[in-house]
Amino acid sequence: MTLLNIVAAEGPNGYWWPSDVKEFWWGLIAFSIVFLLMVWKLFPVIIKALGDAQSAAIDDASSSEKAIEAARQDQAALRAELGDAESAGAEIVAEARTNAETIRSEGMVRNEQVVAEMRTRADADIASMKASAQADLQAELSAQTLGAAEAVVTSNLDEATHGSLIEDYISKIGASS
Amino acid sequence: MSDRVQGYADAMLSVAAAEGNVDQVSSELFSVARAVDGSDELRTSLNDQRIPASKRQQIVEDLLGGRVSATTVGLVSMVVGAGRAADLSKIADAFVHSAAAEQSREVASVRSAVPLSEDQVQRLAAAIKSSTGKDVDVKVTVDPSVVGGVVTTIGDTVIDGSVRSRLGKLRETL
Repeated sequence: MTLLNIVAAEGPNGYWWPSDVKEFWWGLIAFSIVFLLMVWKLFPVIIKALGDAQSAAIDDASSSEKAIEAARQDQAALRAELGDAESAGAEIVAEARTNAETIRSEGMVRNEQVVAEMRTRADADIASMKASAQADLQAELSAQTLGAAEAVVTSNLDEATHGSLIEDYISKIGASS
Repeated sequence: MSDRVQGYADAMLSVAAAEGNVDQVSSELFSVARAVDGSDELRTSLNDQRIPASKRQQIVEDLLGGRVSATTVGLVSMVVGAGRAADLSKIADAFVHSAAAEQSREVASVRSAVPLSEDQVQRLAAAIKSSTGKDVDVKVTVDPSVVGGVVTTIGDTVIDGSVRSRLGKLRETL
């Protein structure tokens, strides 16, 4: 009763019932009207809003689940690709190693061939230079010998020798008939 | 041989024939031609058109005067004065060949290290005639490059008896 008095904003009257009952009934009627209006107009809106919110939440949850699933699928695909890339990379590395080894072997063979050719060419050059030097030496010796012979011959050609040469020439021409 | 060269040779032969010393002029012209061929300085001086013709003729007269006949001096001077000194040796050779041909002879150019005596020239001509059957007019040139012996050229035929050729054969052998 104390609580009701407080609610009725009255002072204590000795009863558990409010002194002004009319106020109580009119308040109750107003409350009921307001309540009914709320139920009639407001509650559907609220329910609708709550329903929409729920639907939106459900939709969000569905889309999130779909996104999660799509992400899981992408992850699986990426993992698969990564696996392929790793194996492809391993193949490329293996092929590169094989090619490098082949090039190295071929290079070694080629180098050996080049060295052999150079040796052969050098031997030929040496032989040629030797022959050329020998020929030059021989030519020089011949020239010096001939020069000495010419000098000796010229110094020994006196008047009498010249005369003999001319007479010998005339005789030979006359004899060749 | 060009017509100009032969023309000059024929003209000079006519002059020499008129003077009655064809053989002498022939020998002298041959010698003069060899001397000009053998001297670059002389050849250049006689051909130099910047030197007046009279000066070049004077050179000829100074060189040849008293050594060869007046006919030869005059003919060479004429050629030089006409500005044909470059053709002098060809004209002289043409003259010598024409003069020999008039006597049904060929020219035998002889190169020797030392001069040949008249007797040797005649015996050589006789030997050549005996050997080749050709009458030859022997023209001798002293050529030290021969070293020793004689080289005779008759047309395209060369009879080489020089010490130079023998040394050359020795060189080939070595």
